[in-house]
Amino acid sequence: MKTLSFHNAKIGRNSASVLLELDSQGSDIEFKSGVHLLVAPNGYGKSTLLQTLAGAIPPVSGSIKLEQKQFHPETEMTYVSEYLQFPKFIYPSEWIEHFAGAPWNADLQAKLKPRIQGFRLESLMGRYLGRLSQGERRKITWLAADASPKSGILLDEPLDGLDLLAIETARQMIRDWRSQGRILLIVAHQVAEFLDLSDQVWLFKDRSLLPWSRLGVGPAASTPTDEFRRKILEFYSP
Amino acid sequence: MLSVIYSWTVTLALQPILERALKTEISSEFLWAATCSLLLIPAFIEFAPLGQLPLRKGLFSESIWSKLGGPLSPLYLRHEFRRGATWLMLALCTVGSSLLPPRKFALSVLIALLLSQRALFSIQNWRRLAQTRFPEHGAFHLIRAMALSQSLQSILLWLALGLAQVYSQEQWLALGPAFLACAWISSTLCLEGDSGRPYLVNLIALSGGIIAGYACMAHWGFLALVAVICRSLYKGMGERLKAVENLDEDALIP
Repeated sequence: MKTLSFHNAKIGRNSASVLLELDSQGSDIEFKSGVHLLVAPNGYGKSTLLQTLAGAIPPVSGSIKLEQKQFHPETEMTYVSEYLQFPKFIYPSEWIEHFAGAPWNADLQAKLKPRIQGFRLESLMGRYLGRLSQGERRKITWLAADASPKSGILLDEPLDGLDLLAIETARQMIRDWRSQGRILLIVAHQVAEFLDLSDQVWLFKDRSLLPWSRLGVGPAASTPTDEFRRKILEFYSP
Repeated sequence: MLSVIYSWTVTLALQPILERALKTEISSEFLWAATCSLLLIPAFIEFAPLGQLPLRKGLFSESIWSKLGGPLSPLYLRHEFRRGATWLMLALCTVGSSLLPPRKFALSVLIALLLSQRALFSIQNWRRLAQTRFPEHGAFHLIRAMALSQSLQSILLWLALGLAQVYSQEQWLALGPAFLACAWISSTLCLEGDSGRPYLVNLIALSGGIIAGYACMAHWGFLALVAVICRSLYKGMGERLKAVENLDEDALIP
């Protein structure tokens, strides 16, 4: 089991707009292996937190550690951005092998074959990324994350554009990643799709994170969606 | 403001070279306008929907490309060399250089600079990809990938001019180091100008390329000095991708 911890870390775009102040010492604010769902209204810092953990934005101050050692997001985290950024004339297999750090060989193809079938991408693997729809490109990002050997996966609105059948494939991938001991952080407005898979739900309060377990209403994973929604609305109501 | 400063820097660097090459006086204002207008050609080609060449899957997957150009290079090279814009620019540069009278062959260096000028118009999009994909070393990987791509294109241009036999062997050999110097300096400077903002970065790279290119044409030994300068500049580029703007947008790199 791996643990991501915070050490007097201030998270934000710059010192004038700090959104979160996190310190794992003396608190339970840390991300262990498993599925962590981040739930908050727009502007609370969910994506900023993911981008900081991805290394795209440095912490304003303080540090983040993995297993109490210096954290290198580039080698530890796969960041699947909400926003799709692709070169137009690249094949899906080339994009995937770039994330895998390994050639698109028989082993990699065999590993991803069930996912490709689940996403119904068999006939699209021969098209350039620039010729795919947004939903199809989103599926390719899932495949790339699956091929990545890194221990953490950061997913920002990963279900945007996915059809119902693709969402089921994505859910299975989450289950598999969890069983592999990866640290998964998910920001998604389609909370219901991930709730039953989550090991912890994190709420944003007073520039910090509050684990769902501290609300004393039982594990989020076994909370009915309607009740979860009601609790969230209560929590974030002004 | 910066665009004005950089564009005048280019003008001042170009003026003595062109006046010597063309043996005529050229007004600064005319040259400034001509330079800015000339940059519209690679800009137009870069953004024109020119389609792609059907180069095979897995191109540039050999390990040598990653070793030379870093982990981003297979992706970058594939995209660049599949693009019609890349080959059109290469063709135009070859034709343009071939049409120069032999005694004006030195102007080929300016034409060769258009290869990197084209690529610089979309470097900002690659910046976003490099930043999210390689947050710690993305700047280095992007520079190396572009340098490798531009080196290959410069070599192709040089070989094409050799095959066309438009210049004497002495002239052709002098162009080789000059073309490479242009490629290396332009690539190393690709994150200057507010982290690769179009036009700013173009003017900065054009200034650097003109100086480096003509120095190396004067004597090939300057190529080693250019390599040292590029290496020194490269080492300082680590933090260039830390600006957070434009992370939160879709981007399909054309």
